[in-house]
Amino acid sequence: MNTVHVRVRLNGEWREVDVPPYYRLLDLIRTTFGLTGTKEGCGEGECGACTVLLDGMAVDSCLMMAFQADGRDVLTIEGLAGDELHVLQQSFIDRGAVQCGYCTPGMILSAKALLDKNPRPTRQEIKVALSGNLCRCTGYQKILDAVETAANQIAAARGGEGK
Amino acid sequence: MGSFACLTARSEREALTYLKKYENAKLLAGGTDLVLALREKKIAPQALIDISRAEDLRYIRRSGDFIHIGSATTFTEIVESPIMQKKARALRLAAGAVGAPQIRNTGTIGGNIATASPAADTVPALVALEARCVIVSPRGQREAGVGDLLAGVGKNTLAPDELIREVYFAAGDDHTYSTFVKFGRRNALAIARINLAVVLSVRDHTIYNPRVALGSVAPNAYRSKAAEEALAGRPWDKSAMPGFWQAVAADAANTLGNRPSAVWKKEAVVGVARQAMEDLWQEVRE
Repeated sequence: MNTVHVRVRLNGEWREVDVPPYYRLLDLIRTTFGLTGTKEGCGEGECGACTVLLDGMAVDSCLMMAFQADGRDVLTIEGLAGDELHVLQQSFIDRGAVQCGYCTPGMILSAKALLDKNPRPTRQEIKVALSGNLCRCTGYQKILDAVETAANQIAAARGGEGK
Repeated sequence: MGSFACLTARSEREALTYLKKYENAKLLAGGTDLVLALREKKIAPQALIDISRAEDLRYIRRSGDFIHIGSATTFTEIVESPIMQKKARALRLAAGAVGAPQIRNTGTIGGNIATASPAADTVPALVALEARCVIVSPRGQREAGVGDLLAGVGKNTLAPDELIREVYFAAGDDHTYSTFVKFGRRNALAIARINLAVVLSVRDHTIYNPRVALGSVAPNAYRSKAAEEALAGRPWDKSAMPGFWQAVAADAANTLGNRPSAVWKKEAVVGVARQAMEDLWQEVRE
């Protein structure tokens, strides 16, 4: 069986590996790189638990072949926190938006993709941005609250910097 | 799943070179259908040719009276395109109705056509817009109407070495209006159970050139001649509606045949048609 060579900028660091040709980006992330924050909820692009940011864009990593990420930027949930949790991660905790936690990495990354593009979304815009992420526990309201809170905090911080 | 070559084509030309080299290759863009087919072992290609980053297949251009969309253009790109804000509303609505943001970020219009799902969302809009495809291969080039590329559930009429370069359609004048409605189990992450596109012109309070395409009620989306006849030349008021709904229901019932879903779909399609016309009612200002 052949392998395919993939070079990807994973959470800010260039990594190079050889993987089976049939590996999805999800397999590259979880199996090759051992980052299990990204989940396989359905394996068919219907739940969003496998969401990662590819060049800043939310994608279902279960539907992308690993070699398609060659030369590109991949952000997983593990890449979000620095010395402190990202404001989205903290607001999910603060607003009670995490129960079993399985949908959470995907939810947070979809929210990040939204806020990076649209820092002041309406609640409806948040709903659309997260419409590709299913949650079986929370009923979504606290997740939406958490994204709103994070957006407000980011905006306030920017305001504080005189921007 | 075994062994296959993983090839990245950065241009149409590269893709054609690979298609010539590998007899049993599959073109890969968004992968939202293909990756599943691969994993479910429905296909076993000897090569995957990734065209998701072939920049000369990703574009939305206005050229005279026509809009041209490269086959590797994503649904998100279609939804966000300034050109698509002003023209061919049915296609923008359809592209925005596909799946969810993650799917729209990688799924492509070429893939939506080539996968030939009965429930494909952009297909009814393209059929109603009378869109045509430019198809290329190592052997040359040809054109075909979108409808002519569809040959049943999940079947297209493309040769193994053919690639859709672009789809194009008339932009329509300022009196052209269009809409698209999708009926699915959820507001998002849903496959259409019924979808419908209407494109028409209104002048002097009269309907001209109506084109009505029904999806998810037959192996592929198709134009309903009866529904179009019920609208053509009628005044732009609601008097044509009962005839229109009846025609839509009759055509849908006919193509649904004996499917279990026919029982409810032939009723529900009227609701979808009503929603489409109510939406157009808001759009048309003459």
